[in-house]
Amino acid sequence: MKTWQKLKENPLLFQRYFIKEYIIKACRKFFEERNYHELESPLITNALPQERYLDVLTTEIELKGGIKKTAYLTPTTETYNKKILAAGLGEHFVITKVLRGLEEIGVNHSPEFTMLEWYHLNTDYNGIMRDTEELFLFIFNYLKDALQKELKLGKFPIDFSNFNNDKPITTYQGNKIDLSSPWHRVSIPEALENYAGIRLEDIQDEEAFRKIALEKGYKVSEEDDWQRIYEWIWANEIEPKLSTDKPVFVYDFPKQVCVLTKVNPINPLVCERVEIYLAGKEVGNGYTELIDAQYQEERFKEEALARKKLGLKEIAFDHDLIDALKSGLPDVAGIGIGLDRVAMVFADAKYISDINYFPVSEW
Amino acid sequence: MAATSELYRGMIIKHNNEPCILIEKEFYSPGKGSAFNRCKLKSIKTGKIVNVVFKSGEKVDELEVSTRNMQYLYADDNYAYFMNPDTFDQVTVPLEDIPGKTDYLHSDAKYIMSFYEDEVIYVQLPAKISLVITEAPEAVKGDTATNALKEVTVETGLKVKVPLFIKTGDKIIINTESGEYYSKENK
Repeated sequence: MKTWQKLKENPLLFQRYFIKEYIIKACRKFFEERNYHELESPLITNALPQERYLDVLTTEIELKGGIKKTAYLTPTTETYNKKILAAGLGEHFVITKVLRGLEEIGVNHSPEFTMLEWYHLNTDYNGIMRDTEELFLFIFNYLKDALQKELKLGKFPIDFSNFNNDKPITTYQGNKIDLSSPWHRVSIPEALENYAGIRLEDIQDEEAFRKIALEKGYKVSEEDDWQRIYEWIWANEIEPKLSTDKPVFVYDFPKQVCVLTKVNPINPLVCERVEIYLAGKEVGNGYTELIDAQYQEERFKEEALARKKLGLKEIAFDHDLIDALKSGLPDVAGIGIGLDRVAMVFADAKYISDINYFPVSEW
Repeated sequence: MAATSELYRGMIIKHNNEPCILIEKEFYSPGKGSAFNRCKLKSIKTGKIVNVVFKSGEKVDELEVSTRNMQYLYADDNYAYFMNPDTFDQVTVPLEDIPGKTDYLHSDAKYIMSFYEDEVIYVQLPAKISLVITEAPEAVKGDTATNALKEVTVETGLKVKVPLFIKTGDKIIINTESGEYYSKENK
């Protein structure tokens, strides 16, 4: 049964999709009130940032004279954001579909999803964390009003029970989540030490890290690089232990897994990157943006080399981005939020396919 | 050896030298990161459940099991009784090993059982099951907005939320994984 057929059978299901619609509207309103411009970003591009594990989808376009060009389906908008920051647009946001290759369609994974990105000037990742707390409260209140309005209109059945609360508390799959600030904040070096018994300074050398992972029982091989070993331990030992009673900011990521992020001046082993966990799901990824053109170029070259070593397809180098950085960018922090997963939580939907009218899983 | 891309629920693998059944599998990839599979494994000997993350492409040690189609006969307080329709052999399965216990057991449905060394190690429910409503409250007219769903009881005793037009005696299709109403069965 396709989604449209399920909806015909049970109109109450419309609410889940309305919640996603309202979340998008709420984001627009939130940034409009802050005088942010909205950037319309392209869906195809000719070059991308180099990131080793990013699975990029490609297509081919044919130009005049039969010239064929590879086009990448945009997996992330940050190159556009940074170029337009160089141009002088200032604070802005994007809401768009992004596309990424996947081995599998999963509970939380779809090859296309809706991304919100915003760029806040003269702040760092701490500022972005505060923005995020405010945005989620705004979304919660917007949803309350919008569903109330829908209920009064009486065109669709609405179940208001999850919003019938004075406090910003929502329930996801039976577990309450309190959205009021401050959210939990956990630094990665701290989490690594507390949950996995690993000190970041002890695993700087890839071989040493591999040895530690082997001793822990991970079947790591020579092909597993630093990032993969790290992500494996993260997924197995740390992520399941993050609190779910409130959203969590995990911050200060190992420099090895940060390509477009400013290095933390106090602890150069980490970069000023933050991820947001809502109901145990990773819903956002933000940085104090790296604006040093030379360092950015070096990092891209390292990542391009790593892709080659891993046997992954080559991606055209975005020289234009380096030029934009060379021309000068203001101090800025930016973040991308996956609105599908946010909608899953507010709609209490178990699968990402439950909040999209036309999910890929129905092909 | 099987690669992790071939992992499936109900698969029997050797993990830390113990035969385990894979009871849950979820594809997982951190933002811009590499690919993994989050799995729940249940030890066949001890019943202990462990969470394991396999990296994508990792080889797992699959054990040979046999599967059979079984017919449900009846259940008592602790066990359900099934029969092999070809040999008429009966097997007994503790209710706690069956997802939903008796909620989804019906003689018309098909159950696939996995056997390892002659022991039942996994009962796979049909993805959807048709059950008759035995108790449904009358819908209140003109109250469609707040009462879009009502709770009914089906013949196995399971309570399900259904649209207002469903009546006692109707047969409905239920998703056995989520326990949610799927559709009304057309007679």
